[in-house]
Amino acid sequence: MRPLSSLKLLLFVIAFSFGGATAKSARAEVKFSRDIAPILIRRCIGCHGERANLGGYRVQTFQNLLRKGGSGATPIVAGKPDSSRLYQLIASPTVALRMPKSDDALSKEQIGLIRRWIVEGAKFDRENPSASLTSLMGARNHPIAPLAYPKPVPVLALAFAPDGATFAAGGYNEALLYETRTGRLLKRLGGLPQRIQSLTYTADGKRLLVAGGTPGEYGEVALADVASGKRVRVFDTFPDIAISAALNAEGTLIAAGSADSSVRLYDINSGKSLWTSGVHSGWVTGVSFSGDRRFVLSASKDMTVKVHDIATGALFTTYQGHNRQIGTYSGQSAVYAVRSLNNSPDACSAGGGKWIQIWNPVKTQAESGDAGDMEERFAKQGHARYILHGFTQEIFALIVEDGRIFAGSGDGTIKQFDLVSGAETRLFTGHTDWVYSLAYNATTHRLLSGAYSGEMRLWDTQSGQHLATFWAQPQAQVAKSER
Amino acid sequence: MSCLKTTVGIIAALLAVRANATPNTPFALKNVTSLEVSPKRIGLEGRRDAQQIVVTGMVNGEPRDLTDKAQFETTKQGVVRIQNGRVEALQDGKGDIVIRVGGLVARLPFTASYYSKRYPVSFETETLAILTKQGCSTGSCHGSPHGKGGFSLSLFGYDPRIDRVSLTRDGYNRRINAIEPLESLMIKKPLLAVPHVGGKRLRKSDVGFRVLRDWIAEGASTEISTLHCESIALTPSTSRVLEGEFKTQQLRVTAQFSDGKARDITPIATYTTSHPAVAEVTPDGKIIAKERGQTAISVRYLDKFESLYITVVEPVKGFVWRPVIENSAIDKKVNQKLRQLKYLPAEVCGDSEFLRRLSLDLTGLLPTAETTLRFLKDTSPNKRAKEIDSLLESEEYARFWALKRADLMRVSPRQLTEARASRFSAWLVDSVRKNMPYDQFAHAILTAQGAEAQAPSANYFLGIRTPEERTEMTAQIFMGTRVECTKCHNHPFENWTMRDYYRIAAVFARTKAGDGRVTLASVGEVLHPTTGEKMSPYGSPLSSPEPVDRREGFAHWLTAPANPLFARVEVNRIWADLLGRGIVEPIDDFRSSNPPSNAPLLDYLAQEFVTSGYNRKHTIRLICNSQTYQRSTQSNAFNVQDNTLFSHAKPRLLTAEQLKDAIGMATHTLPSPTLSPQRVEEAKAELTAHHNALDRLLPLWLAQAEEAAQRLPIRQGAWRIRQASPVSDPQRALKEAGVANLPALDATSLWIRRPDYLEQTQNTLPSAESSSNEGHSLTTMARRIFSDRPRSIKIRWSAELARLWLNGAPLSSDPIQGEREIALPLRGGENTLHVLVATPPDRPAFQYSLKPPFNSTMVGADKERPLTAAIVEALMVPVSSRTSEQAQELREFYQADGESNAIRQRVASLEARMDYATQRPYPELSSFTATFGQPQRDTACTCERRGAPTLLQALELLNGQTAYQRAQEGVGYYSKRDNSALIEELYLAAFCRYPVMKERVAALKFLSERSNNREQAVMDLLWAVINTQEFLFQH
Repeated sequence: MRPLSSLKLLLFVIAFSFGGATAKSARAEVKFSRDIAPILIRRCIGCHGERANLGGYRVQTFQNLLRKGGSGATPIVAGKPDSSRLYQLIASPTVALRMPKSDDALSKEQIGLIRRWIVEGAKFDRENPSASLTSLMGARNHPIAPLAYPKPVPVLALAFAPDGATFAAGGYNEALLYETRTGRLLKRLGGLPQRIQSLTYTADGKRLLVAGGTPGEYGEVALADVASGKRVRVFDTFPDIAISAALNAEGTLIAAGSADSSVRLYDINSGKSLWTSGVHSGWVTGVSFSGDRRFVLSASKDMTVKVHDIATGALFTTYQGHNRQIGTYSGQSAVYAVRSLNNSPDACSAGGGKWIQIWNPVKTQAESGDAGDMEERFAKQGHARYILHGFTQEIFALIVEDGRIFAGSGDGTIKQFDLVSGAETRLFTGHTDWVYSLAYNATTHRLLSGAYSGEMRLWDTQSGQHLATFWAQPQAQVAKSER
Repeated sequence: MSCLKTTVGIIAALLAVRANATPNTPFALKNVTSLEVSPKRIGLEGRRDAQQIVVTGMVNGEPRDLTDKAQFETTKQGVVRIQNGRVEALQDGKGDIVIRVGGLVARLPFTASYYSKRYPVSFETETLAILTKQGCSTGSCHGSPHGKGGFSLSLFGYDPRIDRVSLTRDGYNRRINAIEPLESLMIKKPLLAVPHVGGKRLRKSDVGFRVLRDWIAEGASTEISTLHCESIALTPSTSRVLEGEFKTQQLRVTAQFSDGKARDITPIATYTTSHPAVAEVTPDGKIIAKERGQTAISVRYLDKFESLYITVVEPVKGFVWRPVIENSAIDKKVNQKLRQLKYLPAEVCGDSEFLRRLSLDLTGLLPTAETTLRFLKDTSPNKRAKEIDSLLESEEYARFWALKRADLMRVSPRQLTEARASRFSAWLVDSVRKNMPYDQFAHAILTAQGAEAQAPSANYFLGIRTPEERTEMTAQIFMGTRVECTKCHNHPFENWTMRDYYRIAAVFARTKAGDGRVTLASVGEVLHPTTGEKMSPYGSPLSSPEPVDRREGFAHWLTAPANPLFARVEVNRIWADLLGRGIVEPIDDFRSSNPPSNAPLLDYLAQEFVTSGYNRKHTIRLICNSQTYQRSTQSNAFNVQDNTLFSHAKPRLLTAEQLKDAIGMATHTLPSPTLSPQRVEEAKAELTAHHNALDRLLPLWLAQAEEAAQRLPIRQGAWRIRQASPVSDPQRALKEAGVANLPALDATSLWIRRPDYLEQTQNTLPSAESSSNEGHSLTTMARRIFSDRPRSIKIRWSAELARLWLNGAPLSSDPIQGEREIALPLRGGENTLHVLVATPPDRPAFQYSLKPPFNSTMVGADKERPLTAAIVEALMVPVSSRTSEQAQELREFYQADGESNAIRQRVASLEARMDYATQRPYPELSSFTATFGQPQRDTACTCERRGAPTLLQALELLNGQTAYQRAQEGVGYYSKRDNSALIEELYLAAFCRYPVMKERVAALKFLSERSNNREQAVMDLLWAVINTQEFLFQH
């Protein structure tokens, strides 16, 4: 037993002296939110988080961190690292006992930081101890985008500037601004999330609403200034990517949906969060404001579209048209997009399945109920319109404008339908891979489509002609001159 | 103490270095007599190519792995690097690898080329293999049908098209980051760099990490190539023993690809061990022994699967092998295994134990007290062999062993009808009775054709209808293989693929079963559910012309002596029936990852089975005569841990049927099976007496019946339907049809054999067998109508288009359309009605209705019995012209009254031995037998018979009706005897032995103390005996 404890002591000495040797951290106090939370998130939350609580112990909030786990030992004893079970375990010289279990040990610096934080009193430097650690960390400072991309990135977001002369496409840690006519890369708006899932211009064309993040760990909804190329405001962060963001017609409100299943609403001017809704059980893939200004609509992988009261966020009704067990229009599929019709309370939604569906939130509520015969009544009374689209794969992008519906699908094609008759009026072919994004400009009658391959195609919707192809892959020379 | 240990360790380490430096070699390595190196030469192409070397030496006659004991050097420096026997290129070049071990030297030439050429990671053959290796695509994780956490992969990568989408495009491309590969979720999740419910699945040091990283960095190409893996090969390829200093075994795995190249896939193959406590395998393919025992090491690569059997031997303190009597090759094989793994076999069991065990095993029944006495008194040295022979010839053996077979064949009135179940069961009993060679048995089952009444084995297909069900059941029964998994994906633990499954299904695609008969259709295919490809039947060469019966080819393949499964599965079943555990266990789960506990034994038994002409009795005789079978259940210090190698007998709870009969026999409440024939005779005599009494009344009945028959005005034959033919213009076709092209009804067709009465008021005619998919089809129908005098009846039709002819004359010139009522002017005697119907493809049937002119007539004392058609037929014939058959038919009909039927049923029940659960043709499924695990015969799995004891069973025995009633009824027999004789006979009947003194004294005391209530006391004694472990178990 003796040699073992002396070894332990030796390790402690090393750990301690190492910590002491770092001049900067020796002086400044260790801050939980800045120094400790990132370590916990990176190394501990996988097993001791919201989804898994091995050993009956969780660390996804500060409150949880202090709570005893299944062993009954106190995880953190302020001022006494050696009596703190958490510290004992991360610093254990016995590999079988050491945390993170069956994984590499924390670095000596990290162990040193945690030790010092406990010695200094294990203080919490924020207000809400029950807030998730990820939320404590605030918005990330994103890395600089690579000068040149080794290969094109999948185009998940596209947006025309209001005049249609330029358009923005999602890049890697940046938004890419192109001249529509020539396809010339005009500008690179850096400092943005790794993946750009959604781009929307404000009505004046001066700002871009951006939703995106790093899959599995971080999401962000932000506003970037087109002229300065700077991120001017971050509305919120999420524990997974933000997939969709939308502006209301007046340009005063922002709705956002994330892979964390939440739908959130913000005031664009104050930046304040107005409400958060957690009624979805899957990724929120699309958000939209209803044409009658009453609702926020959210589409989800959980096969539903939820209708929220715009003022309170309360659930008004659930549209189940994409998840029906019986009837002519039966099928269960994820919904990837929802759009509202201009000057109409109706909504248009699509995803998997055979139909693009147009429906009315109020009538939907009237038809819904919790009785056992709901499906039956729905089939009988359904007011919804079903447009048989004929795509062989799911629809990921949907635009309803100018009395037309544009839909882009995983089968690589884009189709145009007449909103009134539901007839397919045009088929755009040429992409060789999944189409993820669409943008349309009514003034210039231009349609843009973006694909998994990184290919962007520009179409004239009046003639149906394919005008140009661009690739989401900044080259080094362009980057240099434009930066 | 530990300080000292450390110091010693350091010194030892230093010494080891010196030992390597000097030619001093460890003791065992001095005995290496030859070296073998695999592969024979190494060619490395590109920088990612690498080869595993396996060095094998013969040490004291045993092949041993020396890979981690060998020293590797190269004749050319800097060209390759060798680590743990793995050779990687550093640049282009060639030379020799010099391998030294124990003073022996081997040379292995190598070339390294194209070092600077890029060979990108292949999605199908590398990335998917890694997803399997790291556990991502297992059935409990993302390989489950709905995936996990929204991420779904195909099970073990069986469908690259699914994985291609899941990995790259699904979820907005969130899993792959081509710009910064290490930022990919596909890498961060398994590394646990972000939360992952599945935990840590990948380390940066893993080969898998490099493969995933490079695959993403190269652009995450998901091109699906035509290149596929044809087979994989293991080095070593045969089983190995790990012992002493040789506790590890390095594997080398190569894959043969369709481009003709073989590649070393050792680091990306997936390794599993069937018994982790015995040995484990590292991700690099190194097997490490842990404790004494046997295990199968399985290697998976894509859809290919191979296994290697490993035996780990460890010294056992105080173990000394003691030679024992060996009766046969079985004993030799069993003892060899026991000796190798250091277990001592148990003693031979006593005569009482043997007789009880044998009798229960071969007949399902306890021996009677008389049999026991005779056997115990017999002093001849071969009395055990004689008893085995005698029981094998008994009727009880045939019935009991047919029951086991019937369990698997799902012979039950619930699957078939009672009559069919009885016939099928009788056929099975007969096959055992005649000792039908097992290959012929399988052949008879699998190629059965015709009516089950004539060919009862056809019931196999009548019970299971779909090709899929037939595939699964046939594979489980005859191949001991569970192929259900391969219905949806390739087998996770075996080489069976979806293709194999649907190729077997194709064998049965043309076997139609229905209406009590099995027929062969000329069409019928099975399509692969994902590729849509038409599957060629399994067992027939791909190019051969379509055979008459696809099942022949399959049955031939199955029963060929070369089939590795057929004989093994059956001898293993027999072995398990006799020893209580299969050599392969579970007995119908043969797969390379589930090794036999004694492979040479299984091989020997299978070989004997084949050379004996698939003689099951021979195999049973062989096993029962072995010492292994006759071992005591008493274990010793050196075999008590053994449950798999047959060092001692295994006490087994009697099966439901055995127990039910044993309770009946021990309490003397069942008729002894040998008494049954006498009771059958008695019942038959009773029946004759009853019939004689009826015969006196026969003339009177005949007169009444003839009169009744005369009153029957109309009767008719059944419809005869000719196959439909497509027609483009139905109106015209019907109009042009003349009676000349209608089929004639010949004299035998459907008149006497199957007449109906005009009883139905409404009928829907069945559609003809294959109606055309396009346009209308024409169906021709004909039937006979008999009328006692000329009369007109009405028939109402509902059809799209039809034309009718009565006695050859059309009833209308134009086709009849829609719903119509038509008069049928019948003439006296026989009439013929022809109908031609045109039906559209979606409504192939049509309806007609006919008003019955009267209700059917009943005559005689037995008023409930209506006359049958055949009887009417006979009655219509004047007495003078009646044939003797017709007269006999009438007599038999009359005699088949309620009482006769009751006596007949009793006879049948006695003949079918319905009182005996082990002897009945189909299970009774009482609550007692259900409690003790009698299968419902819903599946072809022996696992349906539950073996584990339950609380309910204890309650059933202690408080249940069966035990209580039998004990109560048994009082009648036993209480007539004096106490001493009673006790003796009870012990002989229940335990096959005399009571020992202590038992005799206790029982006598118990009975004499309660002489005032003797019946109760006897009952208590019977009940107590039934509830002893000695009674409940076979031992």
